[in-house]
Amino acid sequence: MPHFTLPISHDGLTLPVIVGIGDKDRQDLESTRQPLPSAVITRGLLDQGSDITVVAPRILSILGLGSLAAATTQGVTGSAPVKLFEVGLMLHGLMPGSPVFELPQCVVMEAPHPLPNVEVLIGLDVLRKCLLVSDGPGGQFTLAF
Amino acid sequence: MYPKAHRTIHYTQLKDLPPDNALCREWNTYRRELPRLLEEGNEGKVALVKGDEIVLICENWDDAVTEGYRRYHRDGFMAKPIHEQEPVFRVPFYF
Repeated sequence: MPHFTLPISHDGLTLPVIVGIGDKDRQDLESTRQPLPSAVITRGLLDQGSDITVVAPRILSILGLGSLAAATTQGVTGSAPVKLFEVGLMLHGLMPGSPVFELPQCVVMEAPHPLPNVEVLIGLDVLRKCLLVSDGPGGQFTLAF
Repeated sequence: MYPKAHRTIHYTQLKDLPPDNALCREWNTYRRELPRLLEEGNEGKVALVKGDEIVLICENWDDAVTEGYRRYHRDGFMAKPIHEQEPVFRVPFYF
């Protein structure tokens, strides 16, 4: 099973994430011969407290994405409507050549507030597709997919 | 694929979108038409909404988004799963 192992950082289970446009958007842009926006390399946090993956507005803006849907969320401050987008996600380790966990189309929510030291929260929607082993005493975690 | 949520609220509890939200018109269209869509047996299907019109009912999210891009490209459309009980996504404590 492909996997990578990363240290547990001060912010938690963080990892490099590449966010690009989703497959359907890419196919449409290609069919109309429009330029494809470059993917954005950023930092993500694995967050089992979120049902859905969350992306900072800055990244969605760089990719030029429009929201595809509205949804309702429930946080401690109550329920609120949020915008949903479809992106492509790649999660990878720090070592060159480490395996890449690729999701060519993933429905994500725009972060309604700034995220602490990261720009992506990887939620349960993604974590349900992989095996996560957290080695607290060893100060590292492994993601297998 | 559309994410799963374990909590739901009845559609009559859905809130308005802020007027500056790009999907405000589509959201209002969906809420206005939802009782009819449910009555016609579309629970679980996905509505493709553009402006004041429900353009198409699709079997799933991927079909609706694909069709939305084909018709409107990046010009703004809404794909909305049709549910009497609207999924509510749990988000982190700091939201």
